[in-house]
Amino acid sequence: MLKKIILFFSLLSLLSLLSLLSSPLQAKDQVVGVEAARSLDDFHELLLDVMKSANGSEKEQLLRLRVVDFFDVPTISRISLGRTWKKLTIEQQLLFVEVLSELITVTYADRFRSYDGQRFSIDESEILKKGVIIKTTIFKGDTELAKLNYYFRDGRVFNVVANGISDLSLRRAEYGSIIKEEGYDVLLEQIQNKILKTRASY
Amino acid sequence: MVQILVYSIIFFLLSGCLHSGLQDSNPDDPYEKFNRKSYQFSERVDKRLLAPLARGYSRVFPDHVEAGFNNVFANINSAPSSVNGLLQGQIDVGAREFARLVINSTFGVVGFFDVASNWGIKQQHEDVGQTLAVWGLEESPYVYIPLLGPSTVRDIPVRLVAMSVPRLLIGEDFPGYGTALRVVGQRAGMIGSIEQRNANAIDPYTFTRDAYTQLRAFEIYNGDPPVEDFFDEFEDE
Repeated sequence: MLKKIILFFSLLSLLSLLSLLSSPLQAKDQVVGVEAARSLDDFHELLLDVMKSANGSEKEQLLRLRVVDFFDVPTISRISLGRTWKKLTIEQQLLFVEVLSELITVTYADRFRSYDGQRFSIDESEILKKGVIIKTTIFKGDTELAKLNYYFRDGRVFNVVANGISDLSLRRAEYGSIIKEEGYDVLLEQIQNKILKTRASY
Repeated sequence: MVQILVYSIIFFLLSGCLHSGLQDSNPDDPYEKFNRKSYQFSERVDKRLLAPLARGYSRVFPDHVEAGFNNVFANINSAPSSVNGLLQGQIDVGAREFARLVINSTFGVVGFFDVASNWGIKQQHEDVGQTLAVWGLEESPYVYIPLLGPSTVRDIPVRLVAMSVPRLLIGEDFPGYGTALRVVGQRAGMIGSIEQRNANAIDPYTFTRDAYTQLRAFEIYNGDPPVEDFFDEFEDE
């Protein structure tokens, strides 16, 4: 009986110790989550300004300043290009990051063309092995337009999942297919054409 | 009955095409050659026939009427959805979909109004493909069915039989133009998504394939699929 009581209290002590040890980690995770949510809140404010701004060049100007801080474009580029990334020279890698930043800028300017009562809500966060997901919803009035999950790592976003569809996964699939069929140079050319086409549409 | 026979013939023709040497080496898309041809053919038909019809349909019917027609077909689908929920061991989903069917068929005037959603009983689509995935057949090669769109080999019979569900459940009272109305209505509901795809995609075929595959995983895991680790490939090297 005494042995069982000792065993019980030993287990209890071990659990308490483990919970004490995990507390700083949880606290760190919470801080990471809060910082990511704050950064996202600022980005939402920016998107509202973009929607309310009068013309395309103004929208782009607002976005261009923030895109490189908010999104981890070098990581997005590296993952999107897969093994091709390592085969590029430093100059080619820098050019690709620059072109992709521009594509993200014009895509957001195009998607957030006008303000019609849209609002954002930050719903919850999920801690990953390396990073955090901040889950949000975009509304137009009371109607839910989409659920957007932002994947943060080291304070910046590398993936956005809209209603279950990951933009990073789409990019990787598309770019991989074009590189395989037509080569890297054609991909770069097609992205540049897409930027021009998108810009001409707003 | 004739409809099921026609769909069965299409299924066997499709299976024949897939296994007739059109296989490609891409592990994500082993039937890519066939799929790309099927996609291009379907896109041509869509551009010339279905898209103009869908735009006309959207112009003629006010939004609430359009939503009403879609609600009718969604309501009919609550029956197989309920059965599949139960087959997946999700008793709550099965019960909820059955409750939706009863409520919307009565208070919702044969499903035209989605009264159940207003009462907080939200729709959760479940089909045979999702059931097979839950039972272990999760991986299945991607296939683009001519005119019907993206699917997987596992889901081909599901897609074809799904077209027959209204007639199977309602019988001879289901009007002949019902299927046409359903197809055009569904296409009209996708006008925005397809426009967005065309605006964003650099390779629309691959975009469609990857988006479909992701959406299907989203449905199979009831909105909470496993998080993909994009960094593994790089950090393990």
